[in-house]
Amino acid sequence: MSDTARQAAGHAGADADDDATLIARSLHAPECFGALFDRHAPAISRYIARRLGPDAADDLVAETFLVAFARRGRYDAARADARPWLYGIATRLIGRRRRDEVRFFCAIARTGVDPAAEPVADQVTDRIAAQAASRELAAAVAGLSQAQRDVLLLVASGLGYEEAALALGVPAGTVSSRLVRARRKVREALGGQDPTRPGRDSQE
Amino acid sequence: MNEMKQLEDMCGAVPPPDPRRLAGTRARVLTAIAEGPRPASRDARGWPWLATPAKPGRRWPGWVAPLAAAAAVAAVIAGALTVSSAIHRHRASPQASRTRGILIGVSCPGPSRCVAVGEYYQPGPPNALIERWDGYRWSIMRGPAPPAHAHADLHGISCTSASECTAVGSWTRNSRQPATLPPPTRTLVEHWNGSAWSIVKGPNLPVPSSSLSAVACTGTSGCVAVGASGNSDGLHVRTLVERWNGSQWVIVKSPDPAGAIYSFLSSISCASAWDCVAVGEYFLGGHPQVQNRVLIEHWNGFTWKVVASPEPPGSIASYLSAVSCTVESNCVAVGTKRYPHRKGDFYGGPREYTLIEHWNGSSWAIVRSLNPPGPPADGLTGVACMSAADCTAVGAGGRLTPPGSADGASTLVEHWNGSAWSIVRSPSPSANSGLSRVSCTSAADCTAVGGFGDLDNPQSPSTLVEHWNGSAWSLVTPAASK
Repeated sequence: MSDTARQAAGHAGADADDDATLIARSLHAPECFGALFDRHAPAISRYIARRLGPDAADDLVAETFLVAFARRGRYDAARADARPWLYGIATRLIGRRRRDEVRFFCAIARTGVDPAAEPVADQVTDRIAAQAASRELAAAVAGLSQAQRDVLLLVASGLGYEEAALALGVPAGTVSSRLVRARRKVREALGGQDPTRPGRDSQE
Repeated sequence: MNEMKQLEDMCGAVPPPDPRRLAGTRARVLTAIAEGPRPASRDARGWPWLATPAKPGRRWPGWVAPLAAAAAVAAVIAGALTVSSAIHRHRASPQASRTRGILIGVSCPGPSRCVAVGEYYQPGPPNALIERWDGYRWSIMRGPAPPAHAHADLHGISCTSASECTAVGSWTRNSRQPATLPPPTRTLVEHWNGSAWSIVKGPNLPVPSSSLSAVACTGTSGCVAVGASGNSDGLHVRTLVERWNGSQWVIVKSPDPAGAIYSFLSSISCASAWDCVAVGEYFLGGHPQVQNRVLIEHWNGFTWKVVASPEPPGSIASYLSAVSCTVESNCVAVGTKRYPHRKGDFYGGPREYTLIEHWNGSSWAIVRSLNPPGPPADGLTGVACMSAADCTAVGAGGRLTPPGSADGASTLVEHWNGSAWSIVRSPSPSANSGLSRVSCTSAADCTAVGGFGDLDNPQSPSTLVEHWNGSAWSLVTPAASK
């Protein structure tokens, strides 16, 4: 077998391994980190694009995975899912660019054009409605504190409370309280809808 | 529609990244990983300044920094604080005092003579670095370059006199294969005959990668080097021992622990040509929660055997980085032990502490070692014993920080007085400093080498040399910066 074939064969089980196993393997076989990238980079990229725009996503995704690689020796092998860890790193890197993030959301609020989002409707009326909604929402998000924005967008991106707590390195109770405050602020900015009752009005 | 749903929709409206752009980002990441500086500590996964997984073939830094720039470190080096910093490179450097690199090994055959080896980071892959202390100043030693190499590094050195040194490491030939596949790596042995360095041809097993991490010489006709060889994928890696018989290097059969998919020897010390101890680590496959374990092997003049060694109770990983033997019945090995993170302590992940083990002639036992105050991310990587009552161990005391933040570390020196280990104050030139190895010629003359860097730019470390004069450790100023 050639060297290349032998090396490639070493990656054969990568898809079946959980994240912790991949990271443990990458301690001795750094190239295994590529499998972790393949697994999570799309979601991390979307998360970053949502917060800083698609242009910034490429660089920050690269930075996120390089930081993760550098710190892989510290990864807690008891945690099979590396998503909170990676989201946490990305969130802290985003935090270094908080001005860019606020500027990004303010631009959406000002123009109604969301560079991170796909066009959602062909109909002019739908597009206008969507733009109006995104403007209000972006303005509300821009008005949050960094900590509140972190919690809100991590949860909105699909992380559970416990996962968001892990990502941010804070207790789950802190996530919960920050989320409550963040949602209240956003709700007020949007006109008082009840966040705890999907589809229902808070005044009812 | 409530605001959470709107937020989820807003996040969900972000399309998947363009596969081509993502592929480009992937290539950037893997290339940066592959080309980053690889301070070849035996295994310093636990500490930030040199968190290097020991691996034959390619060595990888724990502090590969994202998108690092050279400016910050250049500013540090150019500042008032100067440390030993000289380049051995295969092409001359116009600014020897502004060296980015790290010293990994040191050997002092006498009080006025030391030679240190490591890596020099230029734009591109690292090159081997050799420095010499002549009693007055550190200076650059010019060494040979392996042919068509992409990078070369020297990890270990042993000098029996001012005119007799052997240095070992690895080199990688230029390769056009994808960055995801590490290129084959070969062992590198260089010899100093008192006037020049030359490459000594050595054997290589028919495997993709092999490297040497340490060497111990007991005379001009007796040297033993240890390391590992195996597949570049990091699995099926075996211990590697080579011996200089006076005329050539030959491979000596060495055992591996049962069930190990990876075993590596980091350091070797010989009390005589018939009594050597090598330490390192091994890794059992299939149990990610049970990581590396201590590996100790003994040479009785005829064969190498694995020696039973204690594991720190409750640890999830432990490894030995260095060993020093004064006589057959007195060896000290140092390293790192790792414990699971505490609940709610996500920032630091697992906790890491110094590990010291002692051989009394019949068995190895764990000795109580110390750790600096603060969140533990500590490790010892070098040790030098002058007697059963005088050992010096060096390493780094790390500081845990949240993910995404830069780690920090300080130099760590501990001393054994025959009854207990104590921490000795040592200077740290920056918030990210560490010592790799130490060599002593007397109780009042020790030299430790390592590196230091900028937290914001950890990919560009600078060489570090410190000296113990019997009462205090101090930074050694490089002649090149005067």
